[in-house]
Amino acid sequence: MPGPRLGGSQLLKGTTPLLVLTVIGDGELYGYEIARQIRDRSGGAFAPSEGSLYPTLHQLEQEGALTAAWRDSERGPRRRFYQLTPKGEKRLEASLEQWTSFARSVERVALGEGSHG
Amino acid sequence: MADPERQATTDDYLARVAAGLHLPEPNAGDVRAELAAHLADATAALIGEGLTPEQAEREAIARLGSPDVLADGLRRAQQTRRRLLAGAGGGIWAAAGHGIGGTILGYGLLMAVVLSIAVLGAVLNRVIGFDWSLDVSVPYQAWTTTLAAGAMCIGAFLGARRAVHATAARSLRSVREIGPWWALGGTVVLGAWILFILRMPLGWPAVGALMFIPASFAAGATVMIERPGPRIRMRHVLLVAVVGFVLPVVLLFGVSAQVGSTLSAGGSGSASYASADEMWRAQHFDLIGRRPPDDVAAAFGAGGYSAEGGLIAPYVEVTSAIDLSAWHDLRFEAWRRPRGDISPDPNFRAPFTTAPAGRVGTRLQATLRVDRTPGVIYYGLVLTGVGPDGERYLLSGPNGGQTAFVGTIWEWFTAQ
Repeated sequence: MPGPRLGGSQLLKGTTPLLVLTVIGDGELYGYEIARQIRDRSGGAFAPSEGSLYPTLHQLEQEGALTAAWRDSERGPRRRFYQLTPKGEKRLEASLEQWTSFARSVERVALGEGSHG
Repeated sequence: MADPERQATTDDYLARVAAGLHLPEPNAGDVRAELAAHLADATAALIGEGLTPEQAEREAIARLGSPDVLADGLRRAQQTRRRLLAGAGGGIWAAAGHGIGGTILGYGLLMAVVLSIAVLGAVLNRVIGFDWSLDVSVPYQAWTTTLAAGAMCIGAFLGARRAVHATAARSLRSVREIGPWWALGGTVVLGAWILFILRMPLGWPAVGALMFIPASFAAGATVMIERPGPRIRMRHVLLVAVVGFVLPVVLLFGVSAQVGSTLSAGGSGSASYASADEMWRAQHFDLIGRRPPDDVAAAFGAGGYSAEGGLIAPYVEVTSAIDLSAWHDLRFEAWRRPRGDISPDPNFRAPFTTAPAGRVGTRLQATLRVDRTPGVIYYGLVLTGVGPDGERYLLSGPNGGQTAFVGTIWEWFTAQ
């Protein structure tokens, strides 16, 4: 059963580049597939606004984290496939580390975990 | 086969996104194609989920959101520092090119206007006796500066306009976003240039026109900036060069001969005086010094001066008949004088510049700058000295000349 949807949530803001880099990290993808994979892999919890997906992709491309190339796909029109660059891999690694540390800290505070001295 | 109505909806959406992108065509085409592929995929998937084709298309478009917001996001994603630098470079190039071209065009246009006014004035003078002339309290060189400054105002306006559009196009930003920065930068750079660097013959009209150049640039960068302004081409410059330069030169050749003859005819009048002393006082030479005894006056022979820009080198031949050891504080003085008159201007009680006279062979000579005093146009050079009786005498001169203040606007204001 899918969890609560966070499509319009403030929580999702700022995580879109991380989600995008993560799914592209597993293999080159085009825009629609990236959105679909994020939705599917989060069990429907994350549905990034498709309108913010493309500016994020283009921003990451300008920053050198992604490269893009037009190619024929298995079905339908030609698609613009995005691929992680070495710079993008480093950024993904750093972002994941940052996110993990952040999530653990939030967890410790919100769920009362950790030592109380 | 695609439904034409659905196709129109998708096309409208993509056209609205493309219109807001302000991207060069290859990039804009890529974005359109990418979004079109996305909408096709999303629509197909939604039809697969059970929506009608119309519903599916509407939903796919709705998920992409407002076309204006999407276009804005895509455009901002492309606004890199590298593009901004390229835009700034392109803007400087456009500002220089159109600034120079606009100044040439402006000069030609203003010359044509001046010529038209001159012709109209001449006609009115002949028909109804209308008397017209330029303000003679402003040196003619300063009028030339005023004309050049007016042309530069036009060049600054057109240059700024093209600079903003060039920067906006290369940096993928809107002209409204770029315009104020160009206005600010241009005003500072041009303001510093005309205040502290540009040295020209000045009068009040020239100072006013020069100070208008930065304002004109700022206006060009901001007022109704969506309009790109005319693109100046070589044929425009050539056309204006012919109309504004060649024709006036040809016509002015004829006019100058008439002006020259008028000045000669209206030159100094003659008046009779009861004595030389009366003449001396009537012509205000007593402001400069006493009339020397005849033998002293005769000892100072032929004189003259050479001029290089505003640097004047007067000299007077001295005969051996006079013993200069009894005289001291010999100096050359430059006095303001009215137009067409060699006498000093009685409104001024002192020379505007002086220089000690040095003896070189049989000559007394000095060098003076006459282009550093605002308001001086006509001047008379005299040699004076303090005689054995302790009184100052006008020993030789005056020799008349014409000048204009030459300097920066800052020097103009500080010299007032």
